[in-house]
Amino acid sequence: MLEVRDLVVWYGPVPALHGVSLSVEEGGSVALLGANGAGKTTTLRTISGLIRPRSGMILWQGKNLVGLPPEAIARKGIGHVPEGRGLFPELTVWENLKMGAYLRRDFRADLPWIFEIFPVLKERLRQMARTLSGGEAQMLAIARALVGRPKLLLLDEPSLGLDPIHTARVFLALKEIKEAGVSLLLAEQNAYKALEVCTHAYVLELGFVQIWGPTQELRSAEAVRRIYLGG
Amino acid sequence: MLLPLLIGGLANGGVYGLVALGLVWLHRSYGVMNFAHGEMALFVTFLSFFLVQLGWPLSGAFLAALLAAALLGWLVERLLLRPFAGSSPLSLVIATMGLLMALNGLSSGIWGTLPQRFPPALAGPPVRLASWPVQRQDLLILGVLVFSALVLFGFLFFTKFGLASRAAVQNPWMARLLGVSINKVYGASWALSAALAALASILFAPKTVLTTSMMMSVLIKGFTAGVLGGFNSLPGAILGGVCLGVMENLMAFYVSTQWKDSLALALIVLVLLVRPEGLLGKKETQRV
Repeated sequence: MLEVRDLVVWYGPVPALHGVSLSVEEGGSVALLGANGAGKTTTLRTISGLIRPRSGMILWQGKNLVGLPPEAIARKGIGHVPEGRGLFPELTVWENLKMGAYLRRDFRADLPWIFEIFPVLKERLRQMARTLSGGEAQMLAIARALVGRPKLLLLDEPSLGLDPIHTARVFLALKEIKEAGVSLLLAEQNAYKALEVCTHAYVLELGFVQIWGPTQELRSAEAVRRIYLGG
Repeated sequence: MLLPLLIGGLANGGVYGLVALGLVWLHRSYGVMNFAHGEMALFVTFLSFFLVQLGWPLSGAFLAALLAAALLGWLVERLLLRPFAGSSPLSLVIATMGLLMALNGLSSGIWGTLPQRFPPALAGPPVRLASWPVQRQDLLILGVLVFSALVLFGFLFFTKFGLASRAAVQNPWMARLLGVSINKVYGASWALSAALAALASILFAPKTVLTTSMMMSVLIKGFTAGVLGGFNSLPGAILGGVCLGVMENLMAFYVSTQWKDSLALALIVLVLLVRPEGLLGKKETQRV
């Protein structure tokens, strides 16, 4: 469904990605692992059209996305929960959700499902997004992406800054989303958690894909254990 | 004597408020201080004056001017400012300054520099309000101010595109990730702001004389009104304009006409010393 080929990205004079290739199958769930600065965020932002690559292709259902503006890529069914969540702080929770469904006529039919995954949002609908706690804000960010009915959801460090309870809840939600048929591309530093949800993983280091494969194999791969799983 | 002073002040303030609304909105949404704001409005005011002289009814000339203003605003964004996207905010400001001079020159070139009498929309002797005379045009300005504020509020809070515009102000990149065509939002912001300024200019012209320098002081006062209101709040822009207008009128009557502008500005400086974020401004806080 999504195939990234030899993606090269530079920030001015600084190279960030040196030819990253990866693919996500329909209904698949792929983890993008790596330390800070490995290129996870850059990869996601380039797929969404926020950054223009120097070379390489991003094929979505066979068509190249490179050069399209972010709003056109969103229209093709790619949702993005960015680093820092990207909520609209001075809009209410309800208005944030409405913005998530901007490209749709009506999203009310989805609400029972959303509130089943994130019950806390139901009680917060009239509140300004800036008043939410970190965990609630992350749930709103994911919920907002979901009401846009994406075929593929890009998630940038959804567990960042969350306590273990909220982290567990977010990953539980990701499993449910995956079961609903949404494909996932999940950038995470929390490799253990990410490998629990995803069937495949790519490990980025300094802008290169170092290792990739099915989660089962990676879990036992010595290099991954050493570098990224801290053991 | 207080009531006519207040109403006259409110009406002038309404003009400043309408100008301030557009300035504040463009500053928030587009990140630019539009120095050509007044001249854009002046240009279409001359246009509507021209149409009146051709024999058009006032209402038709007004409507044509508002549409022309919206088109002009849209064109300015599309042709002048969008090519500067991604360059420093200062280049945008310089571009609007250039436009100010170009439009002023164009107005003088086409319509000359002689002062003209612009017919009031509501002509006739002053109406009596509790035995005090009140200008009809002043009442009209207040009515238009309230009406435009309600329309703007309705647009921003009760339409999907208005919601997208508010979201885009807070986080343009995120709005785009959700599918908002940011260029449409920007185009609409410029069209709307220019139309509001044109409304102010057309309503103000009959209260003074129509000259190519008419909007200079109005622009400065609109800017002052915006600052007084906090420069990030739309209700603040209206409140700031109204306060400035009333203060000016009170100063003119109780102190001196010559000193009214300086004293009104001094009062505003005092207010800002006590409340640097302005009357209704919010301190900008970022939470990630």
